[in-house]
Amino acid sequence: MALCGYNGGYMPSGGIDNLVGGLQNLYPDFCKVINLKPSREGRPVRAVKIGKGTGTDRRGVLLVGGLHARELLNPDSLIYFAYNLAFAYKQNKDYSMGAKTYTAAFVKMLVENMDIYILPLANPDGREFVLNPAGDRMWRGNRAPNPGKLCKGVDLNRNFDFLWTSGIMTSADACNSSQIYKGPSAFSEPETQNVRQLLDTFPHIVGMIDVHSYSAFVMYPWGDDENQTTQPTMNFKNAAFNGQRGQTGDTYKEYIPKKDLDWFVSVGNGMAKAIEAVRGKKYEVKQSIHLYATSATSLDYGYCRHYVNSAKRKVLTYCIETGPLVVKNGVPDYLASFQPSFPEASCIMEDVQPAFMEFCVNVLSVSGELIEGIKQAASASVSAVSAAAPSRAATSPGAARSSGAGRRFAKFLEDNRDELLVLARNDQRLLRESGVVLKRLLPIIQSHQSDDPQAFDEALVKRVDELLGRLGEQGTPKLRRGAAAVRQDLQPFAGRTVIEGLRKVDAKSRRGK
Amino acid sequence: MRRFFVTIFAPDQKALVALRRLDLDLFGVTPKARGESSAGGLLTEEDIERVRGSGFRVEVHEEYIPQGQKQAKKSAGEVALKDVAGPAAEGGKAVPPVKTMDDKAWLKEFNRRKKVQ
Repeated sequence: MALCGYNGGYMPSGGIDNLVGGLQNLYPDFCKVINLKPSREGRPVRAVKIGKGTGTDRRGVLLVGGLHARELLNPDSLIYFAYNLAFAYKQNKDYSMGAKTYTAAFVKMLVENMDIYILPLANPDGREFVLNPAGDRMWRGNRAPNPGKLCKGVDLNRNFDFLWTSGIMTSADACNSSQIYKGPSAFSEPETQNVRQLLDTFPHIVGMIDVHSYSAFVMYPWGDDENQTTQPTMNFKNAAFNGQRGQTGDTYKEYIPKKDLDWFVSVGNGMAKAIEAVRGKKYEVKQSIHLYATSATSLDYGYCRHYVNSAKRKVLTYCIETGPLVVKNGVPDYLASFQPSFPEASCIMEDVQPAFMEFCVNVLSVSGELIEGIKQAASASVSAVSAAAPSRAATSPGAARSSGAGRRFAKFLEDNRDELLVLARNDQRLLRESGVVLKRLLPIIQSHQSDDPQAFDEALVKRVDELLGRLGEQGTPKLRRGAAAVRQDLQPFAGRTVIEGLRKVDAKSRRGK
Repeated sequence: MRRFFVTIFAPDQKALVALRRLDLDLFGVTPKARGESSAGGLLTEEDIERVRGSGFRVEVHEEYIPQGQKQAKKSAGEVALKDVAGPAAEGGKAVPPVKTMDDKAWLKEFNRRKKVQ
């Protein structure tokens, strides 16, 4: 359903709650409502799980919206995502947003292999206050009464248990105009307790996105300081560094394992690329602190749980800041940035849908590893292509022809990623074989940069050929054609390094002209 | 307590980080212009004075008056507002309420579009 440009309106909290309930009524076989603690003012707070089937390797993701009341479009966006996903699965239809399409088979793979938990509106009281003509459109927190004070509200995204006592960009004053009051204690608010409850109750949740506005960013941890990957003891738990966090450009930096950092950047780039595919809007992938330093946010809390208690599974977290800064006549329009007119908001909602899809498939067990393998193999092939024809690549129109084999392989992997994932997911033998082949191929392709490049042995070439043959048999005509083209290039690689193989194919191709 | 949408300018990103220690309602950074880093915010008159006192340049856009709240009569203490916020802040009007729709209308529209698809 194309929504972009729709002249509707933002939904009140009751409407969002009705639509959460509606998912279970409409699709009881794969949508289940989860009742959470009511809000401070007693409004219902409910999440929904979309997922069919059970399995020991099943993984879950959690999508959260509306923690900040004034950022209106995100709860609507998550509702839209939930209904589109459920509809596409039930009707066995493709899920399209602008120019970006996920096939029905892809949707089926997600819904039947993972649990997608969606809490579209974490802070219904705040939203009601924003929407109420007697309220405040720029309200940020919940509506908690603060004992002994007239002013209300806690900034929920400063109320999570991550460096809560540090004071990094939080206020301890409930009546300060900053709206970043962190509350009387970490998790003092039922609305933040609900997020924790979801993570605790469903320990197979290994990925979380908290959706905010605005800035057009896809952000990953940490928010309290810059990242570093070499000194594990320099971390948020180490009291010796208290007082040093929250500044950029100084000696303290927060430890993050390199593997996680690489994953965040790689998957974040995939999400941004998918967003851009809808209608060309660019989102920047960055570490959260580069928006500004924070503490006690959901982003860092979700990711830090495993480091605080290693018995808890690691949750890989993102914060998406939806929509750009709106500028009118050269002047920033901040109100419109937080609350775009609905026709514009509806386009932003559509833009970010594929980011959710990309996140899910990357978190999905095994598929994530395959995606990474595919990405790396494609990128290493392109790098080998340049090495095979360095001078001509820069100057000659023949360069593309000379590097045809490498480019064909990279393009084949990139263009057919989704279908390859679905095929592999539906066939355990194919899945295993794809994983093994990618694992053996990668180091050989990547070794072209070393002093001692490895050669492909004949058995591996044969194995790749057979795998492509099987994929071609089971795939769509597009996949079959791509696989056939790559298979034609394979034989010259036996006994040769990737560079030698590419040159051989190149020479063969020139002789054939 | 009157509040204004503002853009605060600083020579670099590091100075903006220092700004965030002043307990303000600040938004994301805005694109760098004329070599300056900047961030948006919603500030009271007192905040604006404090930020300026800390050496930042503040551009005041317009007064933010929540819907339904009539513009407060200027108290004696607010007479000097023009001097604090500049002429752009004069004559602010209450923002209109947000346009809403109910879930039934939303679902009807969703189903209609799915049928068309």
